[in-house]
Amino acid sequence: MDLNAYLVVGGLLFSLGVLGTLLRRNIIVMLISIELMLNGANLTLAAFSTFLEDMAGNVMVIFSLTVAAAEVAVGLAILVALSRVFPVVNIDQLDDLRG
Amino acid sequence: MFEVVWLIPFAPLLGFVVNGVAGRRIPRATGWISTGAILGSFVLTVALWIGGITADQPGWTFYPWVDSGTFAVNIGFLLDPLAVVMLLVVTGVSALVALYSVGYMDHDAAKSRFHTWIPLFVFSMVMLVMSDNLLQLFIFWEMVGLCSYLLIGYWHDRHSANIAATKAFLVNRIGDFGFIIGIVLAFFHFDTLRYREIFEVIGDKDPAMTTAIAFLLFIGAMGKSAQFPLHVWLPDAMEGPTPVSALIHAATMVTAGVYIVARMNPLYTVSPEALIFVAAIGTVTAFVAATIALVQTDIKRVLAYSTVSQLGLMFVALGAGAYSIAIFHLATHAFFKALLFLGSGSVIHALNDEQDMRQMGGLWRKMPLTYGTFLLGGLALAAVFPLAGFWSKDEILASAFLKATAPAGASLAADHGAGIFWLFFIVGLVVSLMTAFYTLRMILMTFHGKPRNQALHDHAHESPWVMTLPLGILAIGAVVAGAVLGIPPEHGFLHEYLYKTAGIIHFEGAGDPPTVALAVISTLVALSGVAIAFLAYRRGVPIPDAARRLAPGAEKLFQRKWYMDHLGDGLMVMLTRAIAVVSWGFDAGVIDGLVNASGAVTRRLSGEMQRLQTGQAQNYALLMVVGIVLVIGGLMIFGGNAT
Amino acid sequence: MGEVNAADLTWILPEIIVAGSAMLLLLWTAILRNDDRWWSVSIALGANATAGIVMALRQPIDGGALEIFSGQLVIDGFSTFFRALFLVVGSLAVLTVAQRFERVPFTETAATLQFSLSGMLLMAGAVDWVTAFIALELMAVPVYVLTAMTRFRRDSVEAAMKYLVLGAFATAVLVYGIAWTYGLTGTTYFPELAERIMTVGASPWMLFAIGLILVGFGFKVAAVPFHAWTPDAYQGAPTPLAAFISVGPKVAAVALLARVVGLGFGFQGADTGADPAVVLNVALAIAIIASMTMIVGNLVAISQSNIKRMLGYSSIAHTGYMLVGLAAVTRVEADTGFASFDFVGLPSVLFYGFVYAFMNFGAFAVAHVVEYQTGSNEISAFRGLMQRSPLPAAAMAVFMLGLTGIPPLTGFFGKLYILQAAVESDLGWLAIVLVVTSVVSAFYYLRVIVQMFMSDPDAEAASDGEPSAEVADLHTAVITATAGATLALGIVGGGILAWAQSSVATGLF
Repeated sequence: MDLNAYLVVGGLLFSLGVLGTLLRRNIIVMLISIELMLNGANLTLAAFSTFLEDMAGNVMVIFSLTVAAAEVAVGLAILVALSRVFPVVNIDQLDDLRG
Repeated sequence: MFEVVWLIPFAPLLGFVVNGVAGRRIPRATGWISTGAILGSFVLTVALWIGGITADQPGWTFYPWVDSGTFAVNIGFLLDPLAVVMLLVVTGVSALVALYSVGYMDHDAAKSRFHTWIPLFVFSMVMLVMSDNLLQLFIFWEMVGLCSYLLIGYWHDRHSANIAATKAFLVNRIGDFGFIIGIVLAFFHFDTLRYREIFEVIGDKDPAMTTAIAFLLFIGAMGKSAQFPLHVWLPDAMEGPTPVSALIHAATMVTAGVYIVARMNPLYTVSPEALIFVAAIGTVTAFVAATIALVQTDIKRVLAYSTVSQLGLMFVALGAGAYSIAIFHLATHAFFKALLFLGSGSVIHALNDEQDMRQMGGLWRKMPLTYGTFLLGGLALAAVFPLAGFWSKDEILASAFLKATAPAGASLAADHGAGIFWLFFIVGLVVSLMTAFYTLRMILMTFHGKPRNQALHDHAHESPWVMTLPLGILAIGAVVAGAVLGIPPEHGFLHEYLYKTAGIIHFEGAGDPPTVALAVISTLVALSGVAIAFLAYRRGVPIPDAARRLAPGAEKLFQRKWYMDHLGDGLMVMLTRAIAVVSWGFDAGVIDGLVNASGAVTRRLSGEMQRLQTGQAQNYALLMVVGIVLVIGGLMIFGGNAT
Repeated sequence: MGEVNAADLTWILPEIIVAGSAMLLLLWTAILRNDDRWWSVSIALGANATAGIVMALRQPIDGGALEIFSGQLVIDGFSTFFRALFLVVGSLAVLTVAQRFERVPFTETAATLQFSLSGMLLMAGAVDWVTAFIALELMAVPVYVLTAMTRFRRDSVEAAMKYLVLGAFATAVLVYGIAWTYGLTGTTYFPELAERIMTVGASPWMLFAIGLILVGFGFKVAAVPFHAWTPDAYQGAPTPLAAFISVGPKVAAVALLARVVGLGFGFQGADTGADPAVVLNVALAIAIIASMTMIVGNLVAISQSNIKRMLGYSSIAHTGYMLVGLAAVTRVEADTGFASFDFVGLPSVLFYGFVYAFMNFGAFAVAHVVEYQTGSNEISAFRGLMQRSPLPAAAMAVFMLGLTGIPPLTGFFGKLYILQAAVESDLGWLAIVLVVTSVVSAFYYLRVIVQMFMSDPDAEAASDGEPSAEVADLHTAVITATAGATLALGIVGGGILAWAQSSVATGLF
């Protein structure tokens, strides 16, 4: 397969992630959507890396996965803390802070 | 001798520090500390002046502040005759005001705070005057603004004082906005901010840009010197304690605008358009403020508008290119305006803080010293021969006249559009008439006639010596300053001294004006103003019974006179009052409105934008996506073209 | 690519020490199960001080730029400048938090702060996308935790949640941008990036990739329209931590962005090896974002009644000012009118970041003191502060005037240098926007001063109860230090500017 196929899939994943983040109100689903965006980016990185026969991209993917895991871990922890002070499922319930 | 010049600003700074640190523990001493500090600065200035400051005095760098290769600024001092004259006025008047405040603020619980800000105010002004570059000047220009903000809002439990303080600060910042742009442009245009270096290269630079810089600097001066339409803050600044008003009006703040134009005179000399603009603004201000002063009933407001008007006249002189004359008027004005303010403070102090002239009257018996000095100050303001105001105001009118009649190509560097100065000259005469009128009206309403509020009148008393002594000293100044400094006209002591300053041109070459004729004209104008006021406001002065008995017709005469008063009121006064009310309305409605409207529009915009912040994270994300599209779209659409 | 050798580790000893202190603090709470403030402060501050000393001692001998770990990191003047600043900011943050507030476990907070600090330190030296990304996230993830530190308060957790979701979103955008940049140029190493970009040219895909990266950074520095999280996060976060969040991560992100555009996109040294089309277009994009940022930040700040939100919007505005410096990439010769590439704005950005850090940190610290005294974050809580606690009030006046940019305070010089750069670079319109919005900013900064100086505290006291006048010693120390720095930098600002200029000159660009 040629590079473009990977890039198209990566782009699609990323766009789906963006749409999911914008449209789905459930916080966990939003986090998953963001994960989708990151995976689109990672796929693009890995595809370029293989195509360029350069390892830097793959290294970047590994780190990016790690960071994503850390982000989600913190996100879920915050969600737990949030649900203790306020029964919340959807992000649109969070509008105390505004203006 | 010159090595100690830094002591001039240091003395008030020391006063500020001492009062600021220890003032709360020794509240009684603070006033004396502040007076002593400022007096010390005055004495040093006098010593320097006697020691002889010449125009080619080298500048003196105190501290190399910022040096980033292309951008170097020093804290430096430039002392030339212009700066020395300003320093003498500033420190001298301020010292008297500080002395006066010792008595005036005696009953105030927080007076240590007051006596802390006063030396800081003076320090800032002294540094402003002594500066050798525009940036240092601007810094202390801002400091002066900040101190005035603190002092106008001194009685912070008064809502109106807070509003006035904020207004003064904000209006000044409108002017400063122009000023800082002017400075930045000046830096890029001249590659330096030091006056001397600017003046050296001015001839080689594009005059259009120089003119623009002159305009922008003048906008700053308009804010600080309360020129139309940025004058709105000054009358409101009356909310501060009266000594502060005296300080602001006579010595420290409003003179800064006049000073900067005089200081940067080589810029203006090559910018005839800017000069005409300066004169036009000055004329409009002088006229508008004088008409408003006609109908004010608050004694301090009359004085405030008269300051605005007199400053306008100074700018007329500056606009005519007669820089030394403007400074001359600044100096004489400092004497009599400080005197009038302190005198009004004395009255207000005696009347339990009553400022409404309709509640006064007949005070001259109760307060003879205040009355006598106030009368002299008032007559000086009215420009009655031979008091101080006469000499300087006469020269201003002469300068406008000279400019108007100057033949093309005379040594007056800027002789473009000279014809318009006829108008400025005539308006100047009208302003003189009005000045004399409202000054006498103020004096008559305050000190003569029957007391209109007996309770207050009974309470009235003469002020203590710390307050009357400054009045006396200032009164001497108001009487003799003009004659001592200004005779012979255009070649007086002060002029000859100022001509030594780089750039201040000798007002010769266009021929001397018909001095005597002009002096007679302006004296007649001033006297007719006095006379009209006397006729119009003599009402209430009781005619002695003896006279009534001796001349049976006296009663009728009195009636008719009363009638004439009404005639006077009905024709002369009503007419001017109509003008005044209209321009006051314009002032309150349009100018204030514009200032307020720009604030309101900003607020409205702010509120609308605030509503974008919904608190919804997904809206934020959407905003980001819009941003992504815009950034990438913009880059892709416009990016290709550049290759 | 050279090989990794153990000596390289000695160059990142500051980062190691700081991160080590964070782990030590975590172990402390896990094992000893107490929340001993004295020890925690000592460990954190000791680590920061040691890191600072080590950094000062371990400088490249020739004073130039030293690349380590095969060009992943660089030790140069630029990184030293920012690492020093970050160590100071981190220490101030530790001190501010050390005063017990609410029920926040202090040791854990200090550990999280130290983790974030180590990320910031790495960011200062990162010259490769891999390191830059790791460092950025090492800084950012702990900040989400810090925002939620008062986890029993709804607004704190809400703020953290929003911050995290949007932050992760921005991270994903950034990674996608990095992916495309990498794919088009075949390198993640900044110094090679600029040359490769020139080879590729300003193709649509290249600009697409660069745009994504700009957006990612736009979020981190809080530029409009990627700013919306800022006021919410600052308001919700515990105030002493908001002080850190508003300064540390923002300045670190500006520093990294400066390195990315200066080195990676070829802004600095653009005359030798960069594509003018790319440089000019990216600079223009930054200029437009900067103008929007200044306008929106300053305008919306006017309507705020909550001091933390107001400072949030004001910090957005200050991002805008710094971006103006980043957009100044050409030098127009005054006499010839000829424009050449030169990143004239870079030193002014360094200088501004430096002075902004102290002013803004101090302002939040005073807000915290007032919160302590009155339990309120409203601007009206500043009423009568001058009578109540003169020192914080006077310091707040210094910060507000400094942020407004009134001379001779340091904020004025910050703006002046940026203005100078903008004008030299023929960005007159942007300079005008900067000046006008600065004037607007006086509205809201002055309001705080008016409240403090002019208003009688007794008017409100009847209904709200007497506010305490207590100011904790640590807060006094922090406020005095930041106010002193704000004042002193106005006097010796030239020295800092000279440092910033030499940092740029000896930095890897």
